[in-house]
Amino acid sequence: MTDIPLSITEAATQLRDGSLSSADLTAAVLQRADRLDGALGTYLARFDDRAMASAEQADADLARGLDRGPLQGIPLGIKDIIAAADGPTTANSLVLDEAWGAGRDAPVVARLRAAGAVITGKVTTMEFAIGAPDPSKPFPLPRNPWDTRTWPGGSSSGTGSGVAAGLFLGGLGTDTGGSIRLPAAFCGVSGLMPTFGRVPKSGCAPLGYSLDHIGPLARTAEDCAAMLQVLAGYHASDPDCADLPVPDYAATLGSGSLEGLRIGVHRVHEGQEGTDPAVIGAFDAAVAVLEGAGATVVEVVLPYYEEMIAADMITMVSEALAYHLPDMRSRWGDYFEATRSMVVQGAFCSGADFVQAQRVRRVAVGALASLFETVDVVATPTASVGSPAYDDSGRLPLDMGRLFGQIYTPYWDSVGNPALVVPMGFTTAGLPLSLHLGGRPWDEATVLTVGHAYQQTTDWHRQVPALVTEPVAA
Amino acid sequence: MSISTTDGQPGTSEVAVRAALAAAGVTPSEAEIEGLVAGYDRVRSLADLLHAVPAARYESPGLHFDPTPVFADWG
Repeated sequence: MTDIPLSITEAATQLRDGSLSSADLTAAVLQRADRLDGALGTYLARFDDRAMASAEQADADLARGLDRGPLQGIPLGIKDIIAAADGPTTANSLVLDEAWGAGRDAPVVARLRAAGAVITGKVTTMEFAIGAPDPSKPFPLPRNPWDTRTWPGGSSSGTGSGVAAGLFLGGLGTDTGGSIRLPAAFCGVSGLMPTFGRVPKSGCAPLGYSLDHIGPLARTAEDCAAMLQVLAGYHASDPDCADLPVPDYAATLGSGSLEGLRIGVHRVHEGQEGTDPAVIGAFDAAVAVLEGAGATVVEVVLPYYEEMIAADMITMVSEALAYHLPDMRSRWGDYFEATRSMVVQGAFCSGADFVQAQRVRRVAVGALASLFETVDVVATPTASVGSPAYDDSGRLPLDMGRLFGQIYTPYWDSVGNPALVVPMGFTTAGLPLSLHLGGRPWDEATVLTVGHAYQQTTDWHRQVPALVTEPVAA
Repeated sequence: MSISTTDGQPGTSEVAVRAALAAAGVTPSEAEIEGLVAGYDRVRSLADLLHAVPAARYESPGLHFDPTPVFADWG
């Protein structure tokens, strides 16, 4: 059986030195999915035949000297709120119109295809990127490869679990309050939320029009850089998409030195109830690694921290309810219970509340820019806990208010800055912990450089769940 | 806040929730409404936090309406 490389970068090297073909790689990941997906609930739809055809085409193109870049021949998964021509998009819901996006590629998917990537299928998401799993609905429960009794995080659940288990080497997620970064954190892989507007989000069912970001999950920061290189850039179909040059992210990754870089450390997790005992030590050790690489570390406090959590919530539920209200009126029961109970809270916000949230976002953007005159990256843990467990009924005992207090992601959605997460250790129960690196607007290059440097010295990102190598119980 | 006061009358939050849901035209169950009362209180506290930011008093929201017609589809 073909050994599956851990990362896109490793696979790209092997595809070019002839030690691996995309056809063999794709067949291997599909075989692994045959073995593990029943336990993981990663896929909603698989495109095996088309994936193999794409893989064979990638091999043929490489053989005749046509090299489209590091994603050529690489199997990738797509979060099922993003349209792909291979099959219908469901948003993990009974509600989404089957005709929406049918036969069409979202711009991000079209760009991946043009880069020669192999699209293996559509993967599980929280319903419309917000609703916690509901065992009463006909969709798989997504499970964490590190402990299948637990949740892989969300909302890009299948993308996180699929990368961690090697069912594909990278994938697309979306992030409105943390939905790229949280599954990456809980599954022990890397994830990048680009600057708002860096990547076109047309062709993606919206959750928060002014909060949604599409971005990559993959094994490493280097892999995320390779994916961002393909995804980023203006598209006229997205009014929020910035018409700005796209840097060469690979060229600026560096070799591991952080000399001259200033890392601000916000100890938001300290003193919080329920913090896993391993978090503080793991975070301190991660900061020490960055310092050892040459960075200057200073203590900081993110400005308007609680206000940006509030702004993310008010904005998200208001924008989501605008989108969902017609269907909620006629198909309330078809929605997941958690989806409808979250989205309907937009009815508790006034128009003035929504506008005020946008005014305070502008204030915070300005204050954060002042902070970034003194530092280049701000580091926090991604969460103060590992992934929560399902109860015996298959439900997550999630109190969203409590969860928002234990994850440190929504701030960055409200301000729109880029943020990268990378694995940094394990909880006392053996579940992944994650380091969160926030940067200046449009400066994905610096957060990627810091993440890459961290991964030159540590090997948390190379850890693989035991499930991957152990026989699956009958 | 509990869904009803000690005299059995609905609390202020419950009244507001039922009114908001009726205005929205949605029909959650009674059990869901009980949970939404807690959600209402949380949302209102978040909104109050935002309305209390002094630096936002004269800030513009950054909401942009562009009257230039651009008809560009995706896919």
